[in-house]
Amino acid sequence: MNSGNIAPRYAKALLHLAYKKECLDEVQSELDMFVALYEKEENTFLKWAQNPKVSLTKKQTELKKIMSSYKGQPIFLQFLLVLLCRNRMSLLPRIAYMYDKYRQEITGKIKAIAELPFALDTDTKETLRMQIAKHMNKEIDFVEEIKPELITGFRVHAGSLLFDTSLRTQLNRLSKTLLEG
Amino acid sequence: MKLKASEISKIIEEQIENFDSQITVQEEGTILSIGDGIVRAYGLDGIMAGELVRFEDGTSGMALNLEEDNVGIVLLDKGENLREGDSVTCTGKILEVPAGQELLGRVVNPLGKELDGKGAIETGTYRRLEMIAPGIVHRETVSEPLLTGLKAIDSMVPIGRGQRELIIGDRQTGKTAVALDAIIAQKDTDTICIYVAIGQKNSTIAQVTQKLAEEGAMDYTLLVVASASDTASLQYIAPFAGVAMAEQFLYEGKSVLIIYDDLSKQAVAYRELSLLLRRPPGREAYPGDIFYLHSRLLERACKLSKQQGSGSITALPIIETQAGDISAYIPTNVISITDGQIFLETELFNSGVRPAINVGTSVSRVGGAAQDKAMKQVAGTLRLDLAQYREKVAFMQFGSDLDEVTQKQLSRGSKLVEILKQKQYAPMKMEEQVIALFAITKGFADDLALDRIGQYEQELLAHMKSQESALLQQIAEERALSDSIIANLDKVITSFTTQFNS
Repeated sequence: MNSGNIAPRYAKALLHLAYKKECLDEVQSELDMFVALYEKEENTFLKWAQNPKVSLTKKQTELKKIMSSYKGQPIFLQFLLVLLCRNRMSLLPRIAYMYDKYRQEITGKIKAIAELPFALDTDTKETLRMQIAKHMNKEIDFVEEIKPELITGFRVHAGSLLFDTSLRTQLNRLSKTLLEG
Repeated sequence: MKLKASEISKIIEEQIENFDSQITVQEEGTILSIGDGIVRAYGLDGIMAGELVRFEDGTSGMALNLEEDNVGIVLLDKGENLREGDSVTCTGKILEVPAGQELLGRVVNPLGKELDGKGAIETGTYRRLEMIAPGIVHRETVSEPLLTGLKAIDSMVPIGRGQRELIIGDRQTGKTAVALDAIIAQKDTDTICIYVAIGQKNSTIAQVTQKLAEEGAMDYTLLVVASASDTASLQYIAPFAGVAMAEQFLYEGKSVLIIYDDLSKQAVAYRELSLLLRRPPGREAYPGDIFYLHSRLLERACKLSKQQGSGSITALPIIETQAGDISAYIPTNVISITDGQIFLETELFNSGVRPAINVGTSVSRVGGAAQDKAMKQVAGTLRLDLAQYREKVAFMQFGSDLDEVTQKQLSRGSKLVEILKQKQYAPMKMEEQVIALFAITKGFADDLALDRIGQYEQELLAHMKSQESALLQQIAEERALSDSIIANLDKVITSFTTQFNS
């Protein structure tokens, strides 16, 4: 089976369960947290999850111990245990991405990362958020990141779109044109 | 000069207020994995099939696989600096190439970048690689001849403008030589030539370029090169780039000759890409749409109607066979698409018959419709005579035991084979071919020894050019042998033959 078909199926399954239990956003945050940890410790974590010398029961027990200190959604722990059992832990980042995409479709909400050269006042931020929301016809959850190298303007990553008015990008484009010319 | 924070805030406020007009909105994704020239990226939700994408480091790619959670992108450059997590943006453009007069005389890669060191190519026109071929209503039947300058082809396997004629044979049988002679033969015509080199050695391409330059053919020729050292993606798109450039001239009402050398290598490159994209393999591991790859390419060669400008693209695709097997997968596919084939045989080549065309298996489905009347008159029975000769040639060892009629047929046949031989890079005009064939088919050279036929032909043509140029001109203009021309030719060739024999 094409590996591209597997992650969406797991994501859909998790989404339906989270929707039933009315904890879509909570599961999303836990997924994001786990994926961040996974990306940080990828080699070690994946090696452990796929190690044939360690029995499945032992792996599941250890995972339950790790997750017990973090009081998350029970459905998420069960999901991780299923991934462990089916040896699909390597698909976790892709599953998280698909889950986020499906969740946005259901809730009509998109998470947007706004890269700004400095912190904006509340009114300007709200105007920006509303403009992006109007363009995308969806609710926007804003997350701010300060990047002085943009000089001026902003870059907003919303879903699969990039809104870019930064001076940095325009200078890069100009430099490329001059070099090619 | 340091900008004040309040000024910057004002600029941002203005940008927000004029949001829709000044902002650039792009589809952006992130690389999931990269390897073997294939990048998997997620996040490009609005991407189109065949769209050009750009990576952070300026590398270009083409989106080929649109899956639910990721996009399969083939790299068009090396992409050595790309890493997992790098961003990729859509350009909003389906892959396109520069086109126009400025490309003539140049050697370019499939993306239109110059390779000959003569400076950047500035054209204002771009054409998409993938275009739908002209429909039936916009076409006309093939009726104008496209002369290759080779007697064996122009007499028995005639090619017309707008036809697709396959050149097929084993390695080192003269396929490229036939194609190059066809290009050189277009010298004093209005035909533009495009030679697409796919998966060839760079040294071979350099030789081809040099030869065309020496023969003065580069003035009307464009070379599109995706050599063996280029990526499979470039070898895959090279023929499409060539035909896209040809279509610019087609819709300007011009006649174009395009040569794909060779499509077997394009099929191999496409197989490589498809397997790396994890598309299901079919017969011989080729993807299921390998037929469509060649059919949609070759369908773009056509003859347009008067209303569309009467332009034409004549395609000469080349396929390399293994051990003469024309019943293999790719050869049979392309044979079924094209309007005929020229089959070159190793045995003929090795026995000195060059061009090594097997007249029995070669065919042009357009046939006499694309042949001048003069050529039809002299070459009408040529195929039959050669077929009869081949049937009886096994008996030649019993020379003294054969009846006179058979001996005559064998003698005539061997002289026909001899007259059809031709040196490389020496294409002949129509009137010269007609005269050479006329002399043999009408029996003027029946009494000559076989080894003198080549010399006879050379001297006859030299005589016609120097002493009978008016007659040559008349044949070239009328393109038919009227009774008076035949009578004149009879007289001239008889007197020349007598002189030659004495």
